[in-house]
Amino acid sequence: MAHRITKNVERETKLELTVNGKPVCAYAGESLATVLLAEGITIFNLTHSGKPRGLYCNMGTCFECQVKVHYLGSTQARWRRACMQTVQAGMQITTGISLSNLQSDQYED
Amino acid sequence: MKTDLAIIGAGPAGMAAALAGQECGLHVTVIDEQAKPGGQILRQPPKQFTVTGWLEDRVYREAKTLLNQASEKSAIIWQFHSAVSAIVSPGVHDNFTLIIAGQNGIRELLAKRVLITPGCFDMPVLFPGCNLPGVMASGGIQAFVKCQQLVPGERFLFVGSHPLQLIVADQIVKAGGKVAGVIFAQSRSRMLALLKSPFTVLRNFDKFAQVGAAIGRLYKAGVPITFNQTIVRANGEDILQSATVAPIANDGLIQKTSTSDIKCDRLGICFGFLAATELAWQAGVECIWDAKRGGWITIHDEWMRSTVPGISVAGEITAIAGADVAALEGQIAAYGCASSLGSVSLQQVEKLSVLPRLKVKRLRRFARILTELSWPGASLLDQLESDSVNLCKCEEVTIGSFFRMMQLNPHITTANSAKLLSRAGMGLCQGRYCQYSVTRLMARQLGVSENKIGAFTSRFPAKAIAIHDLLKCE
Amino acid sequence: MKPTYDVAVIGGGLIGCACAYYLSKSGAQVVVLERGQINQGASGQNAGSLHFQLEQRLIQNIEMDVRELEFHVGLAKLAITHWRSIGAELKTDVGLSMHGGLMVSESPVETELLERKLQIERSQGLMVEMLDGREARKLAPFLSDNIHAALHCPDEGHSNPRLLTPAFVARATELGVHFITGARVSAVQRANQQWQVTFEADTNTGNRKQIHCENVLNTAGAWAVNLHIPLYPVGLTMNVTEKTAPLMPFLIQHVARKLSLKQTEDGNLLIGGGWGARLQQRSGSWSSNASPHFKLESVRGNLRAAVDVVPAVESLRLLRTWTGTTAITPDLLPVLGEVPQAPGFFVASGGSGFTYGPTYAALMTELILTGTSSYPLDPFSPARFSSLNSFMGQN
Ligand SMILES: Cc1cc2nc3c(=O)[nH]c(=O)nc-3n(C[C@H](O)[C@H](O)[C@H](O)COP(=O)(O)OP(=O)(O)OC[C@H]3O[C@@H](n4cnc5c(N)ncnc54)[C@H](O)[C@@H]3O)c2cc1C
Ligand SMILES: Cc1cc2nc3c(=O)[nH]c(=O)nc-3n(C[C@H](O)[C@H](O)[C@H](O)COP(=O)(O)OP(=O)(O)OC[C@H]3O[C@@H](n4cnc5c(N)ncnc54)[C@H](O)[C@@H]3O)c2cc1C
Ligand code: FES
Repeated sequence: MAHRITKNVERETKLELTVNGKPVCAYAGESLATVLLAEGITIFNLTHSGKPRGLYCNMGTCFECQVKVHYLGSTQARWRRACMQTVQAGMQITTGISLSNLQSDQYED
Repeated sequence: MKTDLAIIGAGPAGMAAALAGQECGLHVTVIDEQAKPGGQILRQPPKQFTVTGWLEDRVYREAKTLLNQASEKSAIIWQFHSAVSAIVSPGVHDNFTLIIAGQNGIRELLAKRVLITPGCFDMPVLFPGCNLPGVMASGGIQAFVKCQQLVPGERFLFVGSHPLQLIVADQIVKAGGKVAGVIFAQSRSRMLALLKSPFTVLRNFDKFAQVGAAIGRLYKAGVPITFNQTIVRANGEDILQSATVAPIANDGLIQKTSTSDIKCDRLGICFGFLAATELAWQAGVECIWDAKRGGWITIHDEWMRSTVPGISVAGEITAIAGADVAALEGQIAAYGCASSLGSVSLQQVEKLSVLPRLKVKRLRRFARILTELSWPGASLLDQLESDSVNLCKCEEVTIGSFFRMMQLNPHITTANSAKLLSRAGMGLCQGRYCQYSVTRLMARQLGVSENKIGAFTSRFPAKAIAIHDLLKCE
Repeated sequence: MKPTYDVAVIGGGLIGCACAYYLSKSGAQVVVLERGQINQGASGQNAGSLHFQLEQRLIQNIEMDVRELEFHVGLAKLAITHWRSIGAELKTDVGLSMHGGLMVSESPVETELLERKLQIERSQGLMVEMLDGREARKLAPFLSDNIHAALHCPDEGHSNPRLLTPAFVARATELGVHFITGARVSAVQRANQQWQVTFEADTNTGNRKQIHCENVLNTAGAWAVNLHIPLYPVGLTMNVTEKTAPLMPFLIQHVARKLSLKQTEDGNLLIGGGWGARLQQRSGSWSSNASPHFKLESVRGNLRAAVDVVPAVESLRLLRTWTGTTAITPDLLPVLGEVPQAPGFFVASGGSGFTYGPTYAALMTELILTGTSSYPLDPFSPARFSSLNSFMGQN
């Protein structure tokens, strides 16, 4: 499993969010990709034909790392590249679902 | 908003250009999709992290100096978290319009001159299992360590032909990760051929020292470094579990009967880099094919001006050559823009460019040797292909179905018309990950040059934009 | 010397390739000369909509053009029958979907326009039905609450422009049609009772070749402009979203705004409807090899219209905007027929040529081979522009 480097690194505030419904702690400044890998998640989404995919380039060009993100205070979840998106408190992330998925759930505000 | 010089990309090329342009009296705006300047070589940790001793190796010194100088210049306008989606060439008025996707919608920037320095990305290589979660670009693995301070897996195996994989493996070991091996497709003697020219070694001592030290540390950590070997398959049901590797015989053929499996949960791919020319294409800049130096690369004159008046290019998109060349090209490009806008005289910039030009020439020589040496060879790439592998990972177009399409439609002889019929290149990555293979494969199959096959037409937006955001203005 | 071909077709777009197919099916010897790649022009760039109702662009002057519009509806009926048989004819999947189309209105004034249109269409026997907003949303729950009414045409739909022309080419090749690509026709001359067509076989070297034929059929689309027939190139914009789960089976159009919207069998939504793109100019004249420049206003206007009609569009990502060039005539109707001053020289171009391309081709085949067609093409004849026509200046 992936792990955060602790030697010579100081991280600031901790944030809370959920990954597939489970509460998870992350550090401010982390990308969603980091949080997901640290949680042991390798499959980020399923292709239209149902094949699992995980992140590849970690620089925003390959679009393999998309996950569904719901932001606090919004009514919809959106597909985001996990490697390009910084964590925010209260985010709800869903992984492992099909890219064909238009709107997984309706969220209450 | 308006600026004299808009620079797309805050890597070494963009930063050096910003400094030079600003010193010549230009109003400079730098746009980058990332959160901070530095580009790929200096993917910085987030501002909320404090990292002591970040990238202390000598090779990063020059780039870090550049980063410090550029960050301190308050006159430079930086726009981060901002992706340039299109460069619209002048219509009625004589400014370019950059369409920029920010975090909260779209905005436009008018610029008298545009400098494109978007760098490069890891070259994807097709082999069975290459889309399996766990298979990653080595540069991507490295960026986790440099920037996010994360070891992004448990047990890493690196395969490829580019020496960068030694550096990444070393950084992983240093950060407390396990490396199962570093596998080179070339022979050891071909790798060592570089050392035959002592002059080259001396002049690029830092780089050799970095690689040498990495090799030393990897041996000490018990990491096997092997040559004449290649990945043939990534294995696992849904997630990478192991990699199958095979020896390469002297005649270049993969010995598919004597394979071995290596357990790993991350497979780093490191066969070199592709130039990120999509914006340049979109703006009408002419490119040429160079299989070893980035695929489609831009062409330019002595001031780094592209074939489109008003648009200059610098850094990896002009041919993969590393951070030092990128920075020098950026500097020269900015001088060219400044003199064409009349903020300094041609004589002045000629003078200022003498030294950078000399350095570029020397460094390019080294870069050429390095690309020659790290090129996996067309034969290897050909042998790794297999019918069931996705040629286009986004649209899930397999190599086999693409060949069938070509067979059934003998009139198709360009990448663009092949894209139209097969859907290869129509997905979210905009063809970045299949264009190189499509071009190579078609040229081979039809027995013509890659320049005849041509590139995919590059379109707005360079990266997909949420319609919700597109309808909003920032 | 006997000419090698009965017909030389200029242009490898849908109309040219479909003509080649029907002509050779009737026994003619045919060659197709395409300057670039097959399907590289409007035929491979269009939205693939099968418009059988009168389109928004045609009903702008609804009072003036009733006669012409009626004629158009007649053609639509013919095309519907034609499309119903096209899959079997071509023995290939061309992504055909005829699940119906809805042309929506957002206000009572717009609904009035729908009603006027309905009368013309009904009078010619086209199957259309008026739905009020509630009924429309019942049929198509994805429609916005703003929709005031909709005209439903059960035959409308879409087919895949990526696949249709290549399918005609495949069948035509089996019948013995010669396709020559990379062959830009540079001159057509009359000599010894036949036509001599000159083309550049390799644009780089300017290697010229000639063929001789009984008849010439010009289907060069927007590039047929130098025929001195009033055909004008226009740049158009198309937007495509990322793929998504099945959302809508219908073709959606708007009676008063430029909008066509549908979901392809691949899952992407295609959004178009006639939004302009800037034709590239080189030294003051149209640079015909270059794809038109996109305009942000067009993209935004088009997407705004789509979101207003189908709100779910907003949550998708715009994958790509592309532009294409098509040919139009001053009266927006196609040009189909023989050029009066040049017997044996035929033109087929213009006007929703994807929907009607196969039908134009079948009718042109009759006209070329027998001198008449089962549906009268006179109103579309190039002769209507005779006063303007100075054909012999062509090069
Ligand atoms: C993943 C990776 C890791 C690498 N690691 C090393 C290394 O350790 N050592 C080394 O010597 N070399 C490394 N390289 C090589 C590297 O390309 C060069 O060293 C150097 O960074 C090139 O400088 P550049 O300015 O041309 O491009 P880059 O440094 O790549 O900078 C380009 C910048 O442009 C931005 N950009 C691109 N497109 C857009 C757009 N449309 N809108 C807005 N911004 C955009 C990118 O976000 C990026 O920050 C690496 C390359 C990659 C791809
Ligand atoms: C963006 C867009 C959206 C559209 N949407 C629709 C729609 O939804 N429904 C619909 O019905 N219609 C639509 N249309 C219109 C439709 O696409 C065209 O009417 C139709 O494709 C015309 O076909 P064609 O064969 O006449 O022309 P083209 O497909 O343009 O073919 C002409 C061919 O001639 C070749 N050529 C040109 N000059 C020469 C020469 N000198 N020698 C040899 N070859 C030459 C060209 O390279 C080209 O391949 C749309 C058009 C566009 C641009
Ligand atoms: S991993 Fe490639 S875009 Fe995120």
